Amino acid sequence: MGERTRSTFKELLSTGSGKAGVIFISVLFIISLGVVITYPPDFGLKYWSNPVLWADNPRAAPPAWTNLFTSDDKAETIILETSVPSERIPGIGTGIVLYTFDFNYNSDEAPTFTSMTIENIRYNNRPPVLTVNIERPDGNKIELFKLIVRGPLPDEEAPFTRFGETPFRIQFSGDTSVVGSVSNFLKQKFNISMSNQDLLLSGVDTVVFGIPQDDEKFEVLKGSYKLQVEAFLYDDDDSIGKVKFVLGGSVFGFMGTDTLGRDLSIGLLFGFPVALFIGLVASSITTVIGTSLGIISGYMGGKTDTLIQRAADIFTNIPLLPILIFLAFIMRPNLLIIILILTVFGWPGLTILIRSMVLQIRSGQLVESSITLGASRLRIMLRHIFPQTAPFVFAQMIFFTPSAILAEAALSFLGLGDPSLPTWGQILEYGFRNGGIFVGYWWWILPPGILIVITAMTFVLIALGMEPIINPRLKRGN
Amino acid sequence: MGTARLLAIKGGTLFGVLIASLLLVIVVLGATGVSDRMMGSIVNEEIRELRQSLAQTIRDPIELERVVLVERDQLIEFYGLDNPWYTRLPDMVWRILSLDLGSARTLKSFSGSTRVSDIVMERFINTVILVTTALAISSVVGLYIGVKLATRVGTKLDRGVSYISAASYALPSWWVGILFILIFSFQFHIFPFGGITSSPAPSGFLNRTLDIIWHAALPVITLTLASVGSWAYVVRTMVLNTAQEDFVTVARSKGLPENTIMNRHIIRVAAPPIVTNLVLGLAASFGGAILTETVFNWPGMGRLYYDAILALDENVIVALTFMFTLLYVSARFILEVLYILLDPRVRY
Amino acid sequence: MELLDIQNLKLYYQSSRGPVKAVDNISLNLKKGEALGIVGESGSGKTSLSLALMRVLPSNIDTNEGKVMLDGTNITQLSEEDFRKQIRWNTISMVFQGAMNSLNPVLKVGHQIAEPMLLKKNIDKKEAYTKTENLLEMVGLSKEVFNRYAHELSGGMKQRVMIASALILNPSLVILDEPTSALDVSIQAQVMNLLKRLKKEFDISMIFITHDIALSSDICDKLAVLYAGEIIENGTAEQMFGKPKHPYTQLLLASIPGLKKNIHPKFISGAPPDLTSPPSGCRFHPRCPHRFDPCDKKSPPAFKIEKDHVSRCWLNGGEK
Repeated sequence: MGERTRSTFKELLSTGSGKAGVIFISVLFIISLGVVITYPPDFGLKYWSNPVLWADNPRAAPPAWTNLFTSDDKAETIILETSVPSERIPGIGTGIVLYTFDFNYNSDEAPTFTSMTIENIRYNNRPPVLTVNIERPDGNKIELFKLIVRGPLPDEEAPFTRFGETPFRIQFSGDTSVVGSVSNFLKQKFNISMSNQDLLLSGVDTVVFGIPQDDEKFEVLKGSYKLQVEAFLYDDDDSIGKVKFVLGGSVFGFMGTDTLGRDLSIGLLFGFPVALFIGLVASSITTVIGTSLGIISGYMGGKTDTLIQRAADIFTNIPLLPILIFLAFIMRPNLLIIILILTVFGWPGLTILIRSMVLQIRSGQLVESSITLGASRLRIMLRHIFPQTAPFVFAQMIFFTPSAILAEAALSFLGLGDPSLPTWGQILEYGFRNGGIFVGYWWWILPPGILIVITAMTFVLIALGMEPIINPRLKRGN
Repeated sequence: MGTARLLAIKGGTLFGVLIASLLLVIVVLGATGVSDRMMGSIVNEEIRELRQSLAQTIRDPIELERVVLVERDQLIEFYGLDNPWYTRLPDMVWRILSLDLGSARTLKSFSGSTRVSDIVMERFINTVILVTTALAISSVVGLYIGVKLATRVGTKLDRGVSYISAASYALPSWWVGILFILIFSFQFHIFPFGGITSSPAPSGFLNRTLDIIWHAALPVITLTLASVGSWAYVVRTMVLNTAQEDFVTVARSKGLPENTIMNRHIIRVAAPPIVTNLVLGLAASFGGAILTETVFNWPGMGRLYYDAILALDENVIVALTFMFTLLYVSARFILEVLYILLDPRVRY
Repeated sequence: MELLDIQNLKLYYQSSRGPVKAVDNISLNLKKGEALGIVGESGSGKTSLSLALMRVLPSNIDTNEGKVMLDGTNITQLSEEDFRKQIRWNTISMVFQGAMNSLNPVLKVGHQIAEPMLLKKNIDKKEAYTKTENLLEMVGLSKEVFNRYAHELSGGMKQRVMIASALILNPSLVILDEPTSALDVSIQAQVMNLLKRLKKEFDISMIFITHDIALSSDICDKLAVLYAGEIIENGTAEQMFGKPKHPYTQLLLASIPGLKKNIHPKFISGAPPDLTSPPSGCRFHPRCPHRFDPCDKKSPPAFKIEKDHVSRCWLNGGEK
């Protein structure tokens, strides 16, 4: 058997499509392996479905590399974080700890949002007070926000911790006090009055990072900025764990983000092993069942044959997708049950094909002589009939894989997928449901589909490459 | 056996399939408790109506409630809801067959009715339009290409089409539809994003028809592209196989014109296995239609599936599953009839 | 005058190992009303000869040369379209080997018979169908076979249909390629009787191709023996069956089992040669019991034994 597999493999590699198929599937496997090793097992539920984790990503942002192709420089996401204060200014009783971030801002548009996250505040007596201010390249300084940490509760004991488990996060763009400060800044420095509503509409960040123009619009002020957190800590022991600022860009990452801000590249990568799993498991089980029933049906004949054939007949006459939709809708199954349902509808086709092959083989001399020698039926089926059908069976297995993957994608697209496991179909579904087509979120809509196609095509290429092996007449050039 | 008897057997088998599918649906509904829910909602609906009409005559609220409760118990007993679901099997079969499934939860028909049967039936014609148009076009085009290919075996064109047809097996047609919308509607504004008419709909019969055709263009193209590749390849293979048969050589020896040989002795003889292949691809066509309608917001039964899933509306889903199975079984029956007409060998 | 005069006909097929010389420089002739038998083993080029005459050739032809005169006209020079309109089935028709698959399964048998008449002569349907029915009766089938389909007929019936079909346009020459091979012996006898009757009543010329030399004696006026693409001996039936001069012909005749004789039939050792590289000199020499010196060196020409009787064997002329 090893010899035959090796020669089969060599033949496979000899055709153009076989070569391409093998290369592609190796790549798919390597990526999947990487994902399986590096991703946490409950990725779907804990990470993908957890919006908190994605809060700091821009929403529905195209990939970062699209910036290379646009004429104006889009804002890229800038993350500034540190756990170590830049300066400590000692004082009597109160000390000031400074967290300073110097950065250059050079894109042609203002950040889409600005957020601050503070983690792990510890204090012993009096709660710290934090002030956030920003110094612009034109020298103007805006005090954006003041955070007064909550004092000790009656049943608490020192040292007091705040924002340990749940970090404090504020999005400046939507906070009323920030809006008020910015509004004041506008009036004082530029003598412009804008109502809070108007400010919110045009975006706080456009003002903070911009210079007002005549037409009531703002042009981005490029240059070096200094973002600073001044923390009044009342004890030497008091500390702040981590300070983080995110200036949201309008482009993000390798594959962009969806409307929840989820990094699509992470989600899409997860789809690789899932797709391979679905395809290969579904086709393996279908092939095993279909082949076994086909051989039994063809060889045993009689009542068994009729029974199996009737069953296969009925199943092939049932339209697949409507029943699939119905079952998935009613049972809301997980991935394994979906695979099982696909198998239930997949075996009849193979059974009928195998049966007709077996009928031919059965009348051959090898089988006849085996029977004469007294071999048991099981033995004949396993050792004489099956090997003759083996190449065809294997090819069918390869050929069935893409249809399983496509069927799951279709179900997911209709919203019936397994929600705990994000698949390419589900990413597509979410994009579609959020009107991604109508607003042109191509980075969200195209890649999942392309990946599905590539994966399915890989198996088709391998199947095509295997054709001359199964059909030796073609190989010999007839 | 005569043609009539053969047809009767085929028809009977297909009808059996329909009933088998129905039973599958009902069993699943029963076993998961959903059918209780469905019947319950039908009962509640009737109670609601009853309460409204009784409120006209019975002024006393307590008395009203008492009467309603009595009615309710009677209804429950009448529908057999106090018994396990499998006792209601025949009733459910009949209900589904006649689409008597009460009202939808939130979905409405175009005319405002909430009855499931209204909602489903008015979309039925839209789906049929879409599917038959696409099938017709892809059959004709596929036939033409297939025959052309058979006369050009081994050429680059032939190999190219065989790769394309293999590729179309891996291509989800509904995603291609999405691609088309992105390119032709979003980017180039040639075709509309979806739906069946513009809003407001243009006036005049001709304008309205043109508007519908304009809206139908992309979905029909998508559906056609999905099947035409493999279809052409099947035709090519069947025609090639037939062309090698002895009777074709005989026909040629008779000095018949090449056209006649192609039409009457090759294509005509290859027609029955081609029809068989058409049957095999039928299920895929219907599945593709459901998804394509969803993508293009084409108001047919397929799109209704999507809306009903979002609205969690069981009654509509059951009705749709039945209608699609019925449609599929009918289409198969038509094709079986076609096959019998084409191949005299099966008639005896 | 000769009805058919084949001169130096060559038909080679293409193959990966070189050209297959299926018909290699064959010359034959036939008078009106005569039946010429062509006898040879399988693979000797019999069917290729008939296909070459009908110009119904597959696409992998390497060489096709020679001159065929039919009733004084050089039909090899006619264009494909002219040949199709004037000669095919009109003048030369054919009954193919193995009637199993010679009929279109989805058309009625009668329509297939009448088809050439309707398409090539401007005759109205009624007349064509009447002639078809008459032909069916003539070959011994009932008129209602017209409305049958191929799968409803037995082997013998199909063969008769093919014969009727070949006669629809009143051809001068009918080529019959193994017309009885697929039939059992009793049907075979019936079909042979039919052919003899047709030949006598309608003065049809025939080329009767078979591997069964005994069968050819039943109907043929002349006999040609085909070996490895060449005619190695031909002559009248009396000459060929009475005094065959070529060892191959002699062996063929000796291999016929006789009911009344008490001798074991002989067999010919060896196998037919590969037509891509036939043996040097006389192609039969590896299997010939009378092989001698010149046989493997030079190919023997056609030696004239007597009028109408030639044999290509070094035993019959040249060096001795």
